[in-house]
Amino acid sequence: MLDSGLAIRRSQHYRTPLSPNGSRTVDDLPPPRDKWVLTPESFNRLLSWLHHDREQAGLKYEEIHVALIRRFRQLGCSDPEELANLTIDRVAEKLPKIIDTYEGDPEPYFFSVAWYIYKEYLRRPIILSLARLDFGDPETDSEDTSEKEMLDSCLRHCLDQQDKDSRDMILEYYRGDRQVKIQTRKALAERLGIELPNLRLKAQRVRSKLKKCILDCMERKAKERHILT
Amino acid sequence: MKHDVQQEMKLRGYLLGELPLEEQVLVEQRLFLDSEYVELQQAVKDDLIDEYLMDEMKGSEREKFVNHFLLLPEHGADLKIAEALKKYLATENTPSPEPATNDTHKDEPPGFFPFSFLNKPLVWLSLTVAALIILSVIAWIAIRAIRGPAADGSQQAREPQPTQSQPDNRQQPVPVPHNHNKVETAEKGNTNGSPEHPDKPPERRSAPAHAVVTATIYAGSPTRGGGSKSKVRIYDDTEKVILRLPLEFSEPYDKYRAELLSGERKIDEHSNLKSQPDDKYGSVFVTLSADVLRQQSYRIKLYGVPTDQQSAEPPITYPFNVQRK
Repeated sequence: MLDSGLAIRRSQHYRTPLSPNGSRTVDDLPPPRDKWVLTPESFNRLLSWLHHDREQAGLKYEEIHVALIRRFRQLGCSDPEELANLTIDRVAEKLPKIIDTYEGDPEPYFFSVAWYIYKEYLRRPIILSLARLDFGDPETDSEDTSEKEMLDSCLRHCLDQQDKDSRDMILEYYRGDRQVKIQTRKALAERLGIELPNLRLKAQRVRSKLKKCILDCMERKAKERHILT
Repeated sequence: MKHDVQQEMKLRGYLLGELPLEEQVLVEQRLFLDSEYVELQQAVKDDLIDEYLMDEMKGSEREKFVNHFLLLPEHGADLKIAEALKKYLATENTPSPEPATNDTHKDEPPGFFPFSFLNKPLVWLSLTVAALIILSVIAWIAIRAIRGPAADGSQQAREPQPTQSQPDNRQQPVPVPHNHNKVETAEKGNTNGSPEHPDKPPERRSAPAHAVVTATIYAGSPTRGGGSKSKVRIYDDTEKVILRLPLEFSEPYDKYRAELLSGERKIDEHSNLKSQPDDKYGSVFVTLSADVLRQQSYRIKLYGVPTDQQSAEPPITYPFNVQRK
């Protein structure tokens, strides 16, 4: 509950240190941002953006804070309060840049930033490594080659892990070029007795499961490699 | 969630960085708060990636895909997985299925009878519904056979019952108001009984005239077959029968238990009955479904459920005959 004074929170950001020679491995997180601290000035700016009346602004602030915590908790986050605080800090940090151009309600902006915070929370180091791979480059270094091989091997392994129906469905769904694909998907939907949009959702769900399996597999293999070498 | 084409177009625009900030914020708010919307976004994302890989994206859209969409590491990872899947499919030796709609399923066993129709979920649903209907009919027939006059009841209804033919009123321990044979109906004006001892008012029902039948049953002789029996008349449209059992225990109980018996066979049981203070000694009301009662003799054994400080008395028997009209 806000009183007439100022409430300042500090969010804690923990980062794993870089390796001594500054090189980056699969397990490294991105370089830490400069730690931003919520100052009284930035907090006041945030409140006055929420409402010109300070009491009302305080109430809105609390409502948003509670809603953020509730939603982060629903999403299964381990520290919903910290993520909610982080969201508010981030909004306060960005506010000077958008306050003159943003014309919408303030409340959606908090949830918009929360969406990014949530995605960062979910982000795994392996995703960064995977995103950096370049299949098209013929002169890939040995590390990239081995990661590509790891990806191929994990893909095969994870396809085998799926039940037969899901595996067949996903392979059929993505097989062929454009024209063949359109006809194949129509036939597949008809055979399964569902509409095309539902087939697309079904395929997306199987693909999400596949992706999670692949990422788990790649992380496991990467850790094994570090243990063995 | 219904797949609105407009929603998908908006998501596509969002992923390619085409939306103004305010609209982008609203999309992201919804993504944070609505898990189904996230699934739809994922499906749109997969489509974008596939179009990019199949080289179906041209010009400015391709540029936006590379310069905006791929900025997020998650999207880059998705693209790499999709590329790997595409490579896998290209190197797989499994033949692609023909897109013709009349192809037979590859798992279909060869045989005289074509099983291809069994692959359709609608067929399975219809078969399941049909099976459920058949099972329901069989169960209904079985229940009727068990309850009913399966052997004895219906014949007994036609034959006179020598041990149960005594007049109703002869051995009543208390003066019998002639309304104990009264059949009350759901509508006023149809009652046959005396107005001076109205039974518990029946429930109001709109259509059936004899939907609820009430009757007072008096305790009979404890010996089997002896004592007078009350008559309960039940009609075709009777749904419920409410029996009033005047209490004759030496002391009152908090709760009572009633068993409906036909011969020695227990047909129904009611627990946690409470006495209603309708006269000096009170009564217990037992509500029975009319379906349970055939045209034959029954008895209700009423037990007082003693507390820790009480002792259990022998049950009191209330014999009665059912007549079906």
